[in-house]
Amino acid sequence: MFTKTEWDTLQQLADTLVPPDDYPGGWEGARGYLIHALQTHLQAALPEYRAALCALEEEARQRTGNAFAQLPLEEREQLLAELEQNGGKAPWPMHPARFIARAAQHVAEGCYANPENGGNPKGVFWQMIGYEVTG
Amino acid sequence: MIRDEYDVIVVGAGAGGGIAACVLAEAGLQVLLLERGSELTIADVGRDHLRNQRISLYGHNAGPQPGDLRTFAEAGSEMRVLQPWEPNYHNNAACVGGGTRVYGAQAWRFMEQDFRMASLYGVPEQSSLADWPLDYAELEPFYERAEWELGVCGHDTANVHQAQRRRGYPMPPMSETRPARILKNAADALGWQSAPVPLLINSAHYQGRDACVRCQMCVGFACPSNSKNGTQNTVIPRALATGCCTLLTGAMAAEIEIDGTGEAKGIALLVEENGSRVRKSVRARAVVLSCGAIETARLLLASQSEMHPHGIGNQHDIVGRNLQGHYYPGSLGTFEEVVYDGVGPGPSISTCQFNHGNPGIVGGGMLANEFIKLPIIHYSWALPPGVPRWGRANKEWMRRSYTRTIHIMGPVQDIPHPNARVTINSAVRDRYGLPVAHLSGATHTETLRTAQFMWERSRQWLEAAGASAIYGARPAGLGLSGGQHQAGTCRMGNDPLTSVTDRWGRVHGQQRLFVMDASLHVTNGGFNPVLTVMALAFRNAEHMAAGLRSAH
Ligand SMILES: Cc1cc2nc3c(=O)[nH]c(=O)nc-3n(C[C@H](O)[C@H](O)[C@H](O)COP(=O)(O)OP(=O)(O)OC[C@H]3O[C@@H](n4cnc5c(N)ncnc54)[C@H](O)[C@@H]3O)c2cc1C
Repeated sequence: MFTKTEWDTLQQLADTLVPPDDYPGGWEGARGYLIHALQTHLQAALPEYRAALCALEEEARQRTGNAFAQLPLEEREQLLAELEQNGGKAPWPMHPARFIARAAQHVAEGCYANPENGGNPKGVFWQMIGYEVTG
Repeated sequence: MIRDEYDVIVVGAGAGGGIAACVLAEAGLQVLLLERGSELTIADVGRDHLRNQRISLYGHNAGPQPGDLRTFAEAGSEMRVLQPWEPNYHNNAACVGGGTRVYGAQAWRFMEQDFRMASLYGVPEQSSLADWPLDYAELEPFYERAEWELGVCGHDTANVHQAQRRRGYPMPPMSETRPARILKNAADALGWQSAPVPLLINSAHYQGRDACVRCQMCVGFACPSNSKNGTQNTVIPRALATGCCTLLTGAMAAEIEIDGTGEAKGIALLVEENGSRVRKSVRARAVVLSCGAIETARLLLASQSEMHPHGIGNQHDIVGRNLQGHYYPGSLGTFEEVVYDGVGPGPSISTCQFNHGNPGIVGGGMLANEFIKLPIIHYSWALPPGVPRWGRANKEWMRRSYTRTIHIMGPVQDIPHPNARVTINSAVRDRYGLPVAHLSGATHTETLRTAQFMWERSRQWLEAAGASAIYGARPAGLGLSGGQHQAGTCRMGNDPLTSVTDRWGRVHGQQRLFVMDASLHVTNGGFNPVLTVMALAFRNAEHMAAGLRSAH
């Protein structure tokens, strides 16, 4: 589905969109969902994901000399915020703001939807916000 | 197997059709009840937070199916072909029970004033606002039947502004929730009437089924304890128990067939048999259309012939017009303390203070607190201004706000516009190869004004409740109103020039063709519409049964 670098970038992107703290981050929360979704109902988005993850990696390298996945959270946040604001220089498949919004939505779907969709392991994000299904 | 001929064919096993089938079968008439969808178990409907009738990001849980297309065009923009789960499709569920299989079950009576909007307020320019050909008093006994025969819980004071009711609700309201308590105090402080929301849900054991388990996934889903009363677990089983009613699922009515004089004589339907699709003609002494406001109009309009070149009942170009639903303004309030108690289904307090009598406003609306939200809905629809869509601040907001938010909203009286309409689009075909419904137009500007007025009232209520921040966009823009509350496309009336059916739902110019669903609503009240759909179906089906029996 992705190259090693793309996987690393995706993982850190998810963990920037929903950063881990005393509760899991976006990668743990949405990994299973994203892998499944990108092969099924979000299959059409897979090429965009590939291109955007490459572009994100290129932006990180150009600006910091480091891989996106190597950057600390604050720098990843800053980079995404800048890209949202000013667009990017690498070949993005769409405006980076649009890709970030989409990825944020998909990661949220993984984290906050029901575990049967592949994310939100054991309902941990529901526990975090105080939602419980009884009955 | 089905026969070639019945007394009555009812098309669509939703709110109106389920009741029509029950009343007619209990009167001893042979009824064929057709439903394009299927009978869905609780497991079939499932509990998918991404695919349901509340948030349908990637599909639905209760139909319609992929390929049941419609087209849509907003003023000045290109026509789009839509799948059922896409925005602007104006969907309602398609299965046995129709919308009632998965609805929120708010069980409102319209008010006395709602039946005579034109007389009360005058007709705003360019609007098709009209009075109903019947009044509240005439419908009142049938509201009572709907409340008792399907089962409603509530408190008799639910709407103190209402004209009298002969009889209370069969079940008491559900126990008070935390948000209800907070909002009740606020309403008292404001001097506003408030009361529990009446619900078509068992608050106690009723008619052989248990009380609601107060779960957190009600609206948009099937009830896990089967305590939510739709037509699929009340009147349709009753109809079948008579032995006079045959329910045929997976049966798509394609056309109304006519005899040599242009009178409806039956239905051409499409069914699967041994893996292939076949078209069948079934005759009947009478045909009842209960497909919901968009599909009933589509079926009439698509039934074209030399005698009915523009579709049946459409000699005056009214079928499909006046499509209306509800604008649903509201606001969210953030509280410092936890206001959530996890006790479903959610809507637990309402006010009918502003349904009428608002200076300068045509009508008004009811306000209530919202259903318990799926977490992904909270993420998608409840984000306050200033909070980002991602990052630490978003996660922190999700973590803190889910249990500290109250959402108030409500349906406002839609002021109908004749150009908000359903037409037939033969250039696009659905999965059966049939021409699809095309939706276009927008509601009247008065609807928007009312929505803005009610939006302000929702803010006022939250402010009085002590919300530390109140947000939610002020309604803006004119769009097509329809969706789950769709109504109005075959309005009743005494004048065939301005209405599609007579005061009993019989299509003008037709002896044997009836409409029994939300299409009949001349106006759609400032309330969720289903109890009115049900009451009308009881009334009209009884009248129809009497006519058919005496003709025997
Ligand atoms: C999620 C949700 C929540 C809701 N909550 C509320 C609420 O709280 N309170 C309220 O008052 N209302 C609510 N509603 C709306 C309510 O369900 C509708 O007002 C009501 O069901 C309309 O009744 P109807 O008879 O007009 O049509 P429906 O109940 O929609 O029934 C029409 C049926 O006809 C079938 N059909 C259509 N065309 C054909 C054809 N050609 N051949 C065969 N079959 C056909 C459809 O599949 C469908 O089953 C809700 C709806 C939904 C979906």
